[in-house]
Amino acid sequence: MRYYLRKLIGLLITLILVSLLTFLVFQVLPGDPALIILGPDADAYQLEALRASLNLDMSPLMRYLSWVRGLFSGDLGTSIRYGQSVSSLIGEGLKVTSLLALYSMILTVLIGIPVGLFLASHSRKKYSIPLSVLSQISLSVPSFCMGIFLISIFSVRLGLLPSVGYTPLSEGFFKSFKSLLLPSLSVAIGSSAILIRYVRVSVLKENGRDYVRTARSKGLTRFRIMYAHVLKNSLIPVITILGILTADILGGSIIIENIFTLPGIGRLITVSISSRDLPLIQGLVLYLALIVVICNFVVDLIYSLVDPRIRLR
Amino acid sequence: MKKVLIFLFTVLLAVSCSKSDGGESPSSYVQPSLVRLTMPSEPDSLDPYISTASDTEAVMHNVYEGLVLFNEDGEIVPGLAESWQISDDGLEYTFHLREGVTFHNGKHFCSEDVAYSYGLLSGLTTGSSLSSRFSTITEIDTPDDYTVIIRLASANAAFLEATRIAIIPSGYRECATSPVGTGPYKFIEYVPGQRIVLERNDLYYDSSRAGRIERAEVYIMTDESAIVTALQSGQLDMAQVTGMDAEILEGKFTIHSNPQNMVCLFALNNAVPPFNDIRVRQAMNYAVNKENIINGAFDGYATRLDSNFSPVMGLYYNSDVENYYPYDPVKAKELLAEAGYERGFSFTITVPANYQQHVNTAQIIAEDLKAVGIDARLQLVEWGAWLEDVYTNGNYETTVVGLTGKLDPYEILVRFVSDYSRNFFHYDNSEFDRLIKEAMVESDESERIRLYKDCQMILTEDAVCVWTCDPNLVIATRKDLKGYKAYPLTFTDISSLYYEEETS
Repeated sequence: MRYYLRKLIGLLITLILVSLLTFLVFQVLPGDPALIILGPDADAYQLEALRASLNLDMSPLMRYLSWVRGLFSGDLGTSIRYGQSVSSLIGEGLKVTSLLALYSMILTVLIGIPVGLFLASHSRKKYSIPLSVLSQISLSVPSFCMGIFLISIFSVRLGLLPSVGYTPLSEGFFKSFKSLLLPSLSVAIGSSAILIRYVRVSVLKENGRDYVRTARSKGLTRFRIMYAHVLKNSLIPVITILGILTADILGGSIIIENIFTLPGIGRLITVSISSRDLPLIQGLVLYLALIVVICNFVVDLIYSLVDPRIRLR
Repeated sequence: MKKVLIFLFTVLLAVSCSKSDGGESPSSYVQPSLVRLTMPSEPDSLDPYISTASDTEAVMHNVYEGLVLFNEDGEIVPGLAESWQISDDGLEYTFHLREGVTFHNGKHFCSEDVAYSYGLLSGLTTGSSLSSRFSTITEIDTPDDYTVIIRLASANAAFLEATRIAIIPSGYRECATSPVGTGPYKFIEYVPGQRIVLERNDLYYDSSRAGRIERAEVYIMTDESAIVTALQSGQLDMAQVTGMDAEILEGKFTIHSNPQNMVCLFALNNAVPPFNDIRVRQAMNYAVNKENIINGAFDGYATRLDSNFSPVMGLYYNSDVENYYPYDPVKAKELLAEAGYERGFSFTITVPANYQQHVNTAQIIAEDLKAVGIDARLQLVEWGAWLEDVYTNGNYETTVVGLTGKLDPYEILVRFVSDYSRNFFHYDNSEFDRLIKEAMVESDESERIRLYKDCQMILTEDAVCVWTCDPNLVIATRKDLKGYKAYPLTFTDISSLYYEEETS
């Protein structure tokens, strides 16, 4: 119980610091926010109206406090660019981004763990060298390159998969899955390459342990040793890296979402910053901080499930 | 293990590629009654009285219409007003409205809608005006259902052009979420970050402007390479592309390239030395090779400019300014020597870093100037800082920027009037000021044209800036998609589009 309490307090402090920091950054940035939002052709009357709605006539401290006050009543404010509430915008974006995160994580695990295990148990160079080279390449190719590469094969050449836009789940699972397959794959290829390396190293390390030798001398098959003992014990670092990768994608893959025109969190971040949409930026930063903290927390929980020796204190 | 992996992968691909529901495959899911196009940025507001972004207007002008419309030559043509008279003193505008027009929500269009719309714009009904263009309205009169009389406090020849602003139904307040207009297309939905969907207005009053394609989906796409691949894979029918991409797409697509009424310029602060000397400014004009800029920064897709006016301004454009300062580094050196700078000088070009084309232009300019012995340093600044320091406070030496076009010449040239608040050139010429003021109240159209042409010539003679080019709007359309029209304002006219098979 104390563990959760401490986590919660830590979370609160993180959020306050993060929000204060973003707020300060936008106070120091040069330029009149109203003019930046409306552009050089802005009309004097429109500028004045926007300044009033942004509370620019209030002192920065008052503005921050009024924002925090709204926060406690669950109100993140209204986006300037979209004219909708920040929380509903983030909610809509999260629908897309969380599906993208889910699919990419499934693909990452489906590719990463088997290949990692294979590489760990087959030290013969016939298999391992080409696979290592392949994983090295997918690790070094940035995801946007991979995205364009996949689009040019599956959309342009073969015409099999769409590369523009997102189809919501309400229009059918397959249609929706199809619209997210290429972006998920672009993310997964890079992140599975990372996973492969972690799995391989971690399994190799476990393989050298005494209990493996004992098990072998007891006459257990290699397969059984691998799945009943080694795999479970080598999962800890794998879970850590999966947690980091998930938080990363949930934070919105700015590049992937822009390439595939997905209306997710990453897209919101791009638009909010380029249009100086202060309430939206603040809401997004809070969300990002929250995601990282929550992902770390979930990873801690999974640790204790996988290895009961690790206890949450 | 490998087999399992390959199996899983194949299953995944097979599942996703197989025809799921309805059996559509991207290569064949185009019905001829649908056009899919792009807009480069998120709409700022769907409310026509709040929106200031030209990208938004380009799309929403298919939905909203004003008392007047403009055609491809930028000429004002009747819209919701069939005809109009302007009193001799230029203070009273009488509009005769079109009968038999209905709004997309079914409301019948009449003079009360105009009175409501202009009441909001002028602030006569609300107390605060929405725009300075309408703040001079003193009275809105509706003698009958199809006549509206608008009175102004002071004569302003640019007012007629301003009346192209949207008319919304009387009492309607939901334009920001569900826009209602009278245009050839109805608003269906806006999915933030994704698209705007429009549908043909089958009750449109003017058959010559009525839409032919039933449905238009406008995707908000920012990534250039994503647009190209979406075109190539048949997921878009029409899109704005860069000059470089146009060369890739040429052959499979029809490329339309037209000036877009934007003025890109190398602005000189006329108030600070050495740029307060006209000979120095003229020397700069001779020293910069505009062809290099057009080819280097705009891939050749731009139209050369020699004054603060794009040729698409048609009647108002003064062609006498063309090539007034040909590329002539020798002449530039002579002028510099005459001004006492035979050893050259050094200065700073402040460029907004978020506009790559302006940054590239500045680099080319710096190279050209080096050839005549002038040392130009580039200073890249953030857009917000540029707006504050250069645009608002006029605190800079030189800059490179693009000024978006307007339909009325006054709105374009007012930037150079000495007491205009955003005259960041610090240009001060009483003769120019006088001509602009004269043109503003001049009711005779041919006289007005002559005055504006004179103004352009004065700007060129005074070498206020080094005007470089009007970057072309490059549009790629499917080969069978016809009817694309280019306008001197950002307007994506969907109603003129049609597929070839449909008409044959």
